[in-house]
Amino acid sequence: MRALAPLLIAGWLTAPAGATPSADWNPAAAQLPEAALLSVGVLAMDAPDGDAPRAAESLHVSFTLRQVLEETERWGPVRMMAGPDHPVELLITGTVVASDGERLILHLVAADATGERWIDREYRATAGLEDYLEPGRSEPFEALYAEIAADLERHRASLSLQRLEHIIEVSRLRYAAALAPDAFGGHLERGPDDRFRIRRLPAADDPILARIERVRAAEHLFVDTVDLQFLRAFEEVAPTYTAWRKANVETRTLLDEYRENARARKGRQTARQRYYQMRELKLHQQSLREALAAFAFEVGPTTLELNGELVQLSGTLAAQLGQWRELLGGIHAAEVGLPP
Amino acid sequence: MAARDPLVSKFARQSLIVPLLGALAAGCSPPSVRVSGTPTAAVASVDFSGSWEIDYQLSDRVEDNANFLYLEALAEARRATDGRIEPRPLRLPAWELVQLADSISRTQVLEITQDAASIEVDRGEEFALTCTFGPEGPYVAHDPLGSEVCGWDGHQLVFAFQMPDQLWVVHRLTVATEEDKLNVATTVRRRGTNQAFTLNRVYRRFEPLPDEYECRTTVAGTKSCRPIGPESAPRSRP
Repeated sequence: MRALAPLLIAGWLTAPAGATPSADWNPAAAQLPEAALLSVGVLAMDAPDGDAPRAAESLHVSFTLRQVLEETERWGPVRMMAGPDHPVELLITGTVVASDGERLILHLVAADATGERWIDREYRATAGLEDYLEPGRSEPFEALYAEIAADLERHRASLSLQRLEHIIEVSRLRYAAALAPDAFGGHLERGPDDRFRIRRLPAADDPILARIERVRAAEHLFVDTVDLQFLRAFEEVAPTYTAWRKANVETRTLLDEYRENARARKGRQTARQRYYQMRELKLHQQSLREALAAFAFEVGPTTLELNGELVQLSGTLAAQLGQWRELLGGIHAAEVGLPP
Repeated sequence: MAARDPLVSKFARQSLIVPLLGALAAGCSPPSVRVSGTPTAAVASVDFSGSWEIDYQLSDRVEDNANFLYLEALAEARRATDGRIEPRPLRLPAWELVQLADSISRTQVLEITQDAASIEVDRGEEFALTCTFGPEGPYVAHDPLGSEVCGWDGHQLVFAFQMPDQLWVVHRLTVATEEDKLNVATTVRRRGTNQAFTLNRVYRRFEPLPDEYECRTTVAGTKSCRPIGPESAPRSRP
């Protein structure tokens, strides 16, 4: 995959606290209180080993969910995540239990920054050939994604405004505690139920917190860059993935027809008919294999500009996030006079 | 070259194919299983890999093979009546097999990739023949529309497909000692009958032109290539 063009974030250290370069709040969500516009992170899902390569399966399903949530315009920034440790107010993780073009089974977990689980359940849907052939329809399982979006909205609607503000605050403090554990490690506690609770709040004008907020804003930029990488990978893989799923459904349809003919004893088939039925199936299987081979994609390096210097991050996205964190942590430590 | 002694029967006498056919006849294994206990005559020295183009001059003509079968059927009919009755011109019982063998062995170019563990024979618009080799024995796969088995039979590589109604298609690949010619014997047979038909297609190694050229070989033995794209004049060579 191509490397991204350098993104200019010079001057981030002097930006106002809380600035999020990518906070593209949606006008359609304006009627929602700001606290309801939680930032959402979707982690690339686990997928079972099987015919479909894990990476492509996980990418397609995860990114489609991200797109659907963003298109509802009922959330804050919705981003694909490289790893689970980036602080978001609502994190969605999951597993692709089964996906063969005809059925999609996901196990989804959505948890907010406090650790409260909003969703922990399985979603199932089936699609027929007609769902692939419908003009203008790009996602045969769109109803499943819509159901997830509706469940998330329903849960959010059940929470008070104070609770939503609490989630945002916990998210902020978790990030601060991770970056400056000496200063903020004591503001939160993790209960036996694995949930985070606020023990005390920092002063509103805490200068270290303000600095950390700016670091966090810079990290959001990196996460947006990662999100863009996911978008490009998604666009690269989507046509092949859709073709693979459609071919799978067609093969099943063919087998059903064959079994139906056999059951109805619709006369003896000629050798030619027999052979061409098998040939069609073999060709489908072959196109599947070729499509799967095309799934192999690699995440390219990410180039960002930090304080006037170009920084290249390489490896997996999680590794790139680690490198980025290290850079930001070093800058933060230098600013507050800590050893790097 | 007619199937005087039907090739499938010949297979049945050979060491590997008996267990191969047995494995298919079992027919109830899960997909892509290996049959244990069958010999794997892995002949690593036989190298099929490369690009091969058909040589029509050396290949069977379907008409000749069909005529041979026809004459043989007439002779059989005469024998059955001790020559007392001259049989009426008959339609070859295996005619549909002749047509099928002809239609599935028309591939002009084969691209073969091979390593110690697997082989893939790309046949253009036909599905690729693929096989993996391992110590467990010949590769067997079952689909509702057909089962397949493949493996080494001495220095030959055999792909056999069984479809419902006991219809068999077998491709047997043999490379000449000099490794410059490849014979693909395609046999179509309906088991339980004496109907079988074999066509031998002979291929020669060649160095493919770059991808931007499209080539076709004519029955007269001429190869015509043209750059892929508009307004391109063909280049010919014998």
